[in-house]
Parts: sequence; C-alpha cells; structure tokens
Amino acid sequence: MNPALHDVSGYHSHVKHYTRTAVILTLITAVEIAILYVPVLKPVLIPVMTVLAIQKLAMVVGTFMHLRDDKNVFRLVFLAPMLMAFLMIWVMTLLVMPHFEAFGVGYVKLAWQKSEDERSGKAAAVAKLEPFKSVEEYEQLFAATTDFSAGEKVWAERCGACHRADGGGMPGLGPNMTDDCYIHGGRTHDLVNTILNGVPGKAMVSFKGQLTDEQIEQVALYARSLRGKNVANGKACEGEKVAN
Amino acid sequence: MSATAHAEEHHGHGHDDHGHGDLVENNYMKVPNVKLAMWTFLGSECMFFGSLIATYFFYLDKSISGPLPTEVFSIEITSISTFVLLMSSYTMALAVDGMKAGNIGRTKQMLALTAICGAIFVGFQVYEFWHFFHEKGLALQTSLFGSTFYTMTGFHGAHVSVGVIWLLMVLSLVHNGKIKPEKAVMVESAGLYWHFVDIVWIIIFTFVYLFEFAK
Repeated sequence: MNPALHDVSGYHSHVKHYTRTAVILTLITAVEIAILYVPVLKPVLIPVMTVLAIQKLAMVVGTFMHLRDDKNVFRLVFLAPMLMAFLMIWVMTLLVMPHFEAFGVGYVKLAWQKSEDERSGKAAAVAKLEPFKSVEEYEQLFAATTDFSAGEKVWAERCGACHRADGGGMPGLGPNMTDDCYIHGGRTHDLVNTILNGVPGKAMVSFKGQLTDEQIEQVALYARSLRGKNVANGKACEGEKVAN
Repeated sequence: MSATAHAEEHHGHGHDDHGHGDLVENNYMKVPNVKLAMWTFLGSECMFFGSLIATYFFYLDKSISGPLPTEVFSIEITSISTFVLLMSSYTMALAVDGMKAGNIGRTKQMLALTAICGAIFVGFQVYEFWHFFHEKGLALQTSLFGSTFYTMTGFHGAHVSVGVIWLLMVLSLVHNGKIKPEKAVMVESAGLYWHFVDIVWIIIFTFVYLFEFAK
C-alpha cells in the first residue's frame, strides 16, 4: 500500500504513517470505552467491541509490525497459529457460555451445567431421588456403626473443601456439620437425601453419579457422627436445632 | 526497506565482528534468519496466550465464591495502562524507523521511551494485583476466576517485563555501536516481540475487562 516500502535506493521514513495509526488506535480505544456508557447499545456491545479489537490488532500487526508489506512466509507462520488461537477461544467459549449467544450460535450444554440451570430456575424440575433405605433403617444402621473411616475418606476428598476438613464449615459456603443445627434435616436419612439431590441454588451439588451409592451412605453416616463435636472456630448455627 | 536491500547492504559492509552475522543474514527464503525465527516464535506465542484466554473463558462464572470480576476490575485504571502500552507500540515503531533511517539519536530516545512505558504498564499491573489481593481478597487459589485471571494476566505481565529488559539491552548495544543501522533487523525483531505483547493486551483488555461490563 505504501510505495516507499519498495524503494530500495534509500530509506523513506514512515513517521507520519505511524502517527496517524497511533491516533486512530487511541480513538478506537476511546470509542470502546465510551460505548460502555450508552445503554441503547447494550445488545450489540460484544459484537461491536470484538470488531473494534480485531481492527486494532490488524492495524498494529499490519502497520507497526509491517506484516501488510512483508514476505508471505511471515504471514504464514504467524497468522495461521493466530487463526487457530482465535478458533480455540471461540469454540471453548461457545461450549460453556450462554450469554455469548450474541455470536449467533447456540452453546453446547455440558452435563455439569445442569445444577447451574436449576439454580437459575431455567430447567424443569428434575425428578427427586429417594434415599436407599427408610428413616428407621438408617437410624438402626447409624446406631450399629462403629467404624466411620470409609466415610471419613470420602469426606476428606469431596466435602472438606466447602465444609472444612474438620467439618466446622466455611463462611459463604458449607454450614457447620459439628454443631446440632441443620438446614435440611439432621437424620442420616436427611443427610443421604441432601447428598443425593443437592440443594438447588447453593454450592451443594448432587453427588449422584460422582460418588457410588455406597459412598454416599458411608459419608452420610460419617457426617451424622460429627454432630455435637462442636469443633473450635466452627461456623455459627444455621437452620434448625435438632434434639440429640 | 526490503529484506533484499538489507542483505546487499550487509554484504557491502563486508565483515561482521559481533557474532550475529548468521542472524541478520538472509536465508534461502531470502529473509533474515532472526526475523523468520521471531515471527515463528510469535506464532507459537499466539497459541500460548490463546489457550490461557480460552481457559479463562471456559471457567468464567463457574467460581463458587467471590469476588466477582465486576467487583474487582476498574475500567478507569486499566484504560490508562492500556493507553500507555498502546503508545509504547508507537514509540517502538519510531525506534525501528529511526534505526532504518540511520538516526541513532532518535532510535535511542524512542527505545528508552518504549522501555519506560513498558515499566509503567508493569507498575500498573503490580498495583492492580496488590489491590486485588489485599483489598478485594482475590488470591490465585481463591476461585477459578482468581486462578485463571492471575495466570493469564501474570504471564502477559511477565512478557512485558522480559520485553523491557530486552529493550534496555538493545538500547545499550545501539549506544555502544554494537548494533549499527545495517543491522536494524536486530532492533526490528525486538520491536516485533514488543508489538505482539501489545496486541495480546488489546485482546485481553477488550475480551476480559470490557466484556465484563458489556454483558
């Protein structure tokens, strides 16, 4: 585009060209920020900003990096991977982000997003799973159990991250399991129920499929055994106090 | 100036006593080796930053605890640092232009200015990370957002820091006469790296910061 670049007899300075480019780049950036504050543009902001960003990128690569007037081999080794990188970002984004539907392509729903939809009330009610045994059977099972080590292992791997390793609970996350307060019931049957079905709208997801049915029972028994231990610095009582 | 003209000029001056004759020499594709190497490296860097940005998006809004991106980002501060980095690309282009035109004085000024702009950008990032960590409670291990955000922008900041060191080295080589105008391709290659770091930020600034307020 600039004949001076092909002039081999002497170097022709491009300062004016660079200055013009820098001014345009600054203006585009200013526009990008300014349109954030225009409410009517909200529905088209993401596509418009994408176009503006790609335009800036093209100007820096084409003018400052001279790719526009340079050898084909440079374009090949640089633009091909860049295209692949953008494709990767695009595909990964479409896979998981519903609010990126502005690009015009629907997103593929992943299995683990189900609980998120339940949280926002989008999905139809999912069939509730029933605990494997009756309330009485679980009470008898808990009374007869002396070894909770299998459940303790599952707890350490899957529950401790939110309910704390010692069961004391975490602010904004899992409640204290060592006091005698329960939000969704404190019987072993209730605990199996909560682990099986999760709590829609909370970080407590359904562990059906993530743990075996046996593991769910083991960890419920272990959680039941924590009641009344009242570990140090535990989270304050949440839900209802139960009689021991 | 075309690559061919480079080679002619280089051979015209005959000898090379600084050891990078093989770098500035044209290869069988009639392009300087150092420039081809730099473009190829930058191609691989596209994939590197592409995967970091893709990972950030993949895990966006999947954190189970705060703070949220909109609670920590400051458009005002990031706009200023973005502007500084954008301008450093301009001064870098002027430095390469000065070198090709044989204007050593302008080249040195512009290289120094570019390095200063880069250092200011890194300074802004240090402030940002400090603010996020100490005042907003966002650490690398806080959430998926913390992990992916710090990894992505941290690697970008590291690239800017490496670029600043590289520019200062080029500046000292130009100052000591170790890089002469006929080897302008050595400055040009450093410039390609610098502009690349700028375009990565153009994408991160728009996709990561601005999109957050546009949704």
